[in-house]
Amino acid sequence: MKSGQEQFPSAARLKSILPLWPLLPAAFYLITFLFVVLSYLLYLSFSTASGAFPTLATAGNVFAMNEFRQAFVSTLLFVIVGTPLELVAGLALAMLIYKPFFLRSIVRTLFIIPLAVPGLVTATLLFIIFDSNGGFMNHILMGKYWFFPHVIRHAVDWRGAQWSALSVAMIGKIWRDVPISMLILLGGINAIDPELFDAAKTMGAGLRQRFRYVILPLIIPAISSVLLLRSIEMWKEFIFPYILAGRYHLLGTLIEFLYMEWGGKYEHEAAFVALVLVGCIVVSVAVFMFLVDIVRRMVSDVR
Amino acid sequence: MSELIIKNIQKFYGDHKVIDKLDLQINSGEFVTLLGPSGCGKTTLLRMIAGLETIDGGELYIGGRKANNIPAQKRRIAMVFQSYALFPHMSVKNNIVFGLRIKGMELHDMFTRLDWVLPLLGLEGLENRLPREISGGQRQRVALARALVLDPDVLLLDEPLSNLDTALREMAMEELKRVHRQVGKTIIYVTHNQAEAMTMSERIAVMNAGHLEQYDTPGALYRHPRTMFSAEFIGSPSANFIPGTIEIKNGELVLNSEIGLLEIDETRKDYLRNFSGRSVVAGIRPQDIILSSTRTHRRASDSHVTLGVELIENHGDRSFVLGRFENGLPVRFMAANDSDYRTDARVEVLIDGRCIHLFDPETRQNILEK
Ligand SMILES: Nc1ncnc2c1ncn2[C@@H]1O[C@H](COP(=O)(O)OP(=O)(O)O)[C@@H](O)[C@H]1O
Ligand SMILES: [Mg+2]
Repeated sequence: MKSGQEQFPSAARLKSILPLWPLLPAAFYLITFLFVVLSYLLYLSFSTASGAFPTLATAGNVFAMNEFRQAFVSTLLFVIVGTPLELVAGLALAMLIYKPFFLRSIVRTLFIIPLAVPGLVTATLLFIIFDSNGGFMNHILMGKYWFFPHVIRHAVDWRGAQWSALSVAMIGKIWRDVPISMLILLGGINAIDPELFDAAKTMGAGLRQRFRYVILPLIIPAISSVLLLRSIEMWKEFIFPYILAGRYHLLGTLIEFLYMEWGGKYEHEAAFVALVLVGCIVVSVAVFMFLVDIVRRMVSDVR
Repeated sequence: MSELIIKNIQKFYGDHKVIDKLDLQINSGEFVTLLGPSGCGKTTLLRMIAGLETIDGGELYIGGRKANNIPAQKRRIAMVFQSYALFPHMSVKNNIVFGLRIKGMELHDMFTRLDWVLPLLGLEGLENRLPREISGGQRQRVALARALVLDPDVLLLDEPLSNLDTALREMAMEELKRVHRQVGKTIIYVTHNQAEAMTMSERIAVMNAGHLEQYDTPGALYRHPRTMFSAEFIGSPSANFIPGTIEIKNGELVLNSEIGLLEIDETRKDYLRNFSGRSVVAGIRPQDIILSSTRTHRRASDSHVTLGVELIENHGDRSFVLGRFENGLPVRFMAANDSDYRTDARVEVLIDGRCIHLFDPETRQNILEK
């Protein structure tokens, strides 16, 4: 009968909504961390300490800063050079261990260890290794060890120049994170039917040709994952430049610098830099996806 | 010349001996099948010939050249894999010309080869499809085309038809025979299906647990099985095995079997006298057990036996009958469908002494075929 339905309309509706309850934590997360945080970031970015809102004054301050322009260019280079480097390093490691061999699982575990070391520790180690006097790297290059020739006479102040300080930071970053790229690529390579390699072999393909014509086209999805995920990480990088290139900012360290260093006077500017960083990531993801598509077409001559 | 000689070849996986001192000689242009149950080492042997597995002992000669250490890329051998192993990211055309491209062949010659192989295997019009966009039978033909365009000395086929349904498989079998006739390549074909092997091959190498049981023409394998394994594996349904003893009764040589005295044909009697008193196993094909009612005259070498019919499988013109001898031993035989028998009936059958194969129960070897 009709009346029964009219009597408990809310109960019926509740029943249809009830199955959605497991989504609540996710909804809570989305609202809190995306909506609230991002909108507060937007508010901070377009307001000033004196309470003006909305205003482009903060943005103007940031764009006028020398530090910001330098940090932006440095971060861009960090991403453009660092991401492909990590991809190549990860691919090289993955190619070393994609075939089963004696003790492979042990070698693979060894390759993953850098990931288990906290970034702060790795960065500090590199800090010591690349110290301007008494650092291990200077000693090696000055020929203090039998295994390396004498190439420099005076110790180099690695952390004293922008390009070398940021390069050392990049090396640290890549060294620590390359296992992630390796594992993603390894997954891609191991998903390929090994008989494809056998087939290529019987058709005359050597190692390089098998890599170029079989492995590479088939791991494009894994390569795009690496490029996208790792480029985001490169944009956001903080700990390695913070420890190793203190004076030469990336966007990530500039936020901290603006927020902490000048007595909290630049809170709004720090927020705006963070907003720029988010924007950079969005744009760069789009650019990398576009590039991956071009590469995909280049290596997989499908038709 | 593309003859293939395998001498005393061996393969181990750890302590597990997969191929055990196997000898095989395949003539140029011959169609040879490696036949054996799953896991007997067929794929391993094929991969050793292709250069995809190392050879742990013995020698492999391809076209007179020792090939043990020639890498797969340089062996001039093409292989069709059971999974076909087509490159999923390449079109049919690019799959087929992959090997030619690797060799750096001129575009013009490449298209000549393509124009030859596409109609040969009925692949016209599919050139630009991806492997996932064509049917199983078409994939199998692409894999074959990809192997053929390489113009290999030897063509290896690993159970290429096992993923096809029955109708398609029969078509593919005919096609493969036609292709072999047209291109005249040495072909080594692997299957666990004896009917496929019997239909297509010039010679069959029957393998069992890593060794060679018998290497013969299909006819010889059927008529003169060298071992009990061959007798059981070749022919369908499998042969019946009946234990017995060779005896001299009243001066006549007979086979005293568990189902009664069985006659042996005159021509073999003299030779078998040397074996009197020995235990044997008689192998009798279902096709060689005949309902007495369908045979008007009786040969001297025929024996009469009665049995109970338990199950009849109709195959159209004939039926496959499962029965039991009076002593309880099960038996399989074929009977024409117009003859008079039914389930639970007792029938009399004839066993032709000329068709009884005699094996040593210990060595499982045929005591007559050396
Ligand atoms: N890579 C391997 N490692 C260890 N054992 C293997 C390997 N490949 C095959 N085998 C073993 O070798 C035997 C023969 O295998 P295979 O040649 O594939 O048989 P078939 O093709 O006749 O079915 C099987 O017992 C199988 O378990
Ligand atoms: Mg196999």
